[in-house]
Amino acid sequence: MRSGTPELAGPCGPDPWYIEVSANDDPVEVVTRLSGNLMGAPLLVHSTSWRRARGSVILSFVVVNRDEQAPELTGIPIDRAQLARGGATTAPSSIGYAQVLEHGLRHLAWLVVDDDVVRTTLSDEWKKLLSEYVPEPFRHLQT
Amino acid sequence: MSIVPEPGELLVKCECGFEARGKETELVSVVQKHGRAVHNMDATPEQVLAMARPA
Repeated sequence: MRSGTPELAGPCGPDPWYIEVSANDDPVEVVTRLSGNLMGAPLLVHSTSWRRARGSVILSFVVVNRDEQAPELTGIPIDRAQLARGGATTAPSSIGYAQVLEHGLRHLAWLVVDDDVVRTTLSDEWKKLLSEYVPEPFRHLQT
Repeated sequence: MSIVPEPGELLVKCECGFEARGKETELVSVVQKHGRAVHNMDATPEQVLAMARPA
């Protein structure tokens, strides 16, 4: 978060960051460990979705850093995106990383209301931002 | 300033944007270190060299 605007940043620049996870690895542990090694201890690590791509199953994580953390990383503002929609029993035919990110932030928007750990971990600035990711008809339910 | 590759130098470009160039032994070590630190990947020297192109 920079001046109230969420930014996408990471060890691979302002792009998705791909990490290999072997059969015996715990994905959450690997993401948390590498995030800590390369950017400092993360504030929040949460898995938000999965998809099949690149010949593998890709688990998506949102890693939230503290505002003052890793200022050397180049970040770009996160724009809103349309979600990738599938059929009733089928996955979307294609999923872009902006859609993965949108889904991840919508997921956090739900958790910040429903999950005590997420609610007490994220700052008021994050909560304000995430309130915009709640579909409008449900915003009144948050209070 | 210009960077003129030395004869025999190789270049590896990681999908994430990371680039390394150098002689074979040095390059393999640098790329393996990047793979482990950033992508949790253990690449063999052969795998690194398969990604390499003349610099």
